[in-house]
Amino acid sequence: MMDGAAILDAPLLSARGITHSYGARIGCRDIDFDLWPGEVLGVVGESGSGKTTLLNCLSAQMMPSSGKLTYRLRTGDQADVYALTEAERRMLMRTDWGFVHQNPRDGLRMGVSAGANVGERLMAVGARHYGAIRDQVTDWLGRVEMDLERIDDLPSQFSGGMQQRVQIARNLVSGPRLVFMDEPTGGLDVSVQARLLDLLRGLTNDLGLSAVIVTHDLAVARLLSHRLMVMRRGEVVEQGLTDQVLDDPQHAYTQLLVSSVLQT
Amino acid sequence: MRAPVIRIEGLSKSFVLHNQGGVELPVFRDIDLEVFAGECLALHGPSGTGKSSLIRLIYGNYLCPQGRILVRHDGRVTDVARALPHEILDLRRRTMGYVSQFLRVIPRVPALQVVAEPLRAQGVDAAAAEQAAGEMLTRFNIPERLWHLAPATFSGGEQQRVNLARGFIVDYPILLLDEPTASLDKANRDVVIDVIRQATARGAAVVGIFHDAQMRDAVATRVLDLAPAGAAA
Amino acid sequence: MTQARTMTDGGYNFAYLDEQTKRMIRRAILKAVAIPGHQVPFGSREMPLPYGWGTGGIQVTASIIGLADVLKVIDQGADDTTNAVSIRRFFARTAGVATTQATEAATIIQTRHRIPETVLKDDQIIVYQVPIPEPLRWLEPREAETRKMHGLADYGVMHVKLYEDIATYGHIETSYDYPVLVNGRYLTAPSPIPKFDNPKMHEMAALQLFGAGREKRIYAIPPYTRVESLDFEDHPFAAQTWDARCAICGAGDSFLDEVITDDHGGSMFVCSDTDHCGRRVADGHRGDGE
Repeated sequence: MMDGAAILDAPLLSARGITHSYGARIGCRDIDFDLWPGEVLGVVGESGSGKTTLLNCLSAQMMPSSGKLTYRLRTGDQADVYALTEAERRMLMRTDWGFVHQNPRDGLRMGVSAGANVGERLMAVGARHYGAIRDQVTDWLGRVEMDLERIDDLPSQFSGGMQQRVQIARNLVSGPRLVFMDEPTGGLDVSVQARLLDLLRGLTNDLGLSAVIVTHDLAVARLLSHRLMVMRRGEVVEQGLTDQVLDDPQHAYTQLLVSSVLQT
Repeated sequence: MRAPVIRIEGLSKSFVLHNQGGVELPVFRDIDLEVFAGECLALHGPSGTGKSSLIRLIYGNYLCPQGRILVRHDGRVTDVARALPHEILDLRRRTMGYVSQFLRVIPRVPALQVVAEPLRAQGVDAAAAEQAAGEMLTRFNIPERLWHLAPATFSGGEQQRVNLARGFIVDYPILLLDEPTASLDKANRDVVIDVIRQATARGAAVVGIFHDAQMRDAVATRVLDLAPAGAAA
Repeated sequence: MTQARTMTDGGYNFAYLDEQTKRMIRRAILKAVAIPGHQVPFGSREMPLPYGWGTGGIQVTASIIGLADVLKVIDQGADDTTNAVSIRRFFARTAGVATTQATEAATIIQTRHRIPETVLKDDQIIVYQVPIPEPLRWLEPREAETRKMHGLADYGVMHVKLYEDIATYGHIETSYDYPVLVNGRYLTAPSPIPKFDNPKMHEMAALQLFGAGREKRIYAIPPYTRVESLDFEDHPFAAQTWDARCAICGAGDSFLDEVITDDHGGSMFVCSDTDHCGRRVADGHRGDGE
């Protein structure tokens, strides 16, 4: 049984006053939020609204100009993410966290096989039994619906959708608790996108993953996220339960975004 | 005296359309309401009186700017108007079910899993959840050959029955029904009457909008008349 | 006077390099010895032969060699190949030192691609010529990132290469430049020696110095240091073995080269270490070749 009480006890990730500027230009300003265990947070807004800057700050790939980020470790201890040493940060990123890039080339090693890409995290944390690594890799490629015949092929020989599935398996193999995704279905055909969305939805549900997903596609946000943050010019103009923000938008910009979606 | 399952105090709602000159559309003002376990409250009134909005407010789908929406959840009282998103989701997962007129279709997900999902979300294992989903679909006369297809291609009536099966698969303490029988034939409307009566009999509180009087008379234990916007409820 | 002898014919400085350069390289070597397996940058000089011909090894040798030293140079185990002959002559001419082909007679052995079969002693130094000093380069092209990985001992990715071998060939196919972990800390490229020689690096009595001229890196393994070859629990490290014996000396435990003997597919296996093979023949050992 899913333990509702456990889900409600404390946030997994807390951001306070996250601000980043590129010289005079503001990337994102004063972002506050709590992400709860099992919660998927969507970040929407048009290009240049600061979504990607925020994601990079939240995933500690970038140090913001100011702000504090607290992550609750498996031990229950609170980690001040920006104060972690490089070694601690790397350990966190390859065990407890994942990052799915929009372009799979940014998240995969294109020169090694799909299997090695997925197995890398296991080896990075000390797995030294080839057979056991291979079994886990096979299991994960199956879970992302990859043809297992292709386990030893290079990702460069795969379609964009397949590459993206390998990237997802590569991130999830270590059993992370928090995954960051930057337009995970951007640049894919609509039919491929639907399949990937379904896969992501299933995985986040089944694994109880927490996630922060940046997208400009409101349909993607509705399908994947529990909660939505609407960004404009580096600031959050509205946030709340996903269906509430989309069905009863309060801010002029959100109303404009929602009314701009083409109906089919 | 029994405590209500839902207690609404001073609830007002209006929509502000920022991109249309900031025009404000009032829906209703200052509603007070109590709903008890085992009753089926039918919302009644001409269109535009905010029946659907009231249901969506209780479900947390619409933002509540003014007033309180107190719901008994987990032996405590939660104010939907103030609850954090993850608290509302927990409320929906375990306490409140909602059936709307339209099924929100998810690409590629077959009917059986659409129906099983609320049980899966409560942690029931896949096999047991699908078994229960199959029984619900059978009850709503969805032939087995359709179970493994995504409902996107189903007729309006079939989609609605899938939606009902999904809504009634969990024994929620609260059920919110927004015209769940709009495109159903007589036989299937009778099934709905049946499941609603069963729900109230086991102690669920039901709040519904029923478009036809016959249906309403068959299930409602109480009727709330909503007046047009501006007038007192 | 000693000074007179150090300035050899042609007016070259002793061992070719100027004294400031040698001091700079010695400092790099000392640091490398102090941090076993760690690559130390140095100001590699232009040498009178092209990169790829051992410029790194030559600069290391030039910085440590003294008048009393006896130098041996091997290329692929042989003392008589072009590269070995020309480097030996280079030092004979610029430093005036004695040279030898006998492993046990040498105080410094500069090598390309082999470690001699004769067990080295604690009064010897072996200098390896290194083309690519960075074992992570194959997986991580960014220098800044590989330095960070070394700093954090973040080496898991190295097993990815071995994984690929097993996935493709069913066993670890890497047979040259097989990565090692030095003193339980730094991941190190042993230079393109065959993995057959890897076990010799472990707890070796002699000091091992590595010079990469083009890449401007020096690293070292001090005497009696732990050197482990990376592997998997279910695919442990294993050195090459041959079904054949040396056709000349009959050795069954040395590294063998296959030599084509005619145009009809005929071949024989002979020791790659010419000194070792010759000494065995002098001792009366014979193979069944000819």
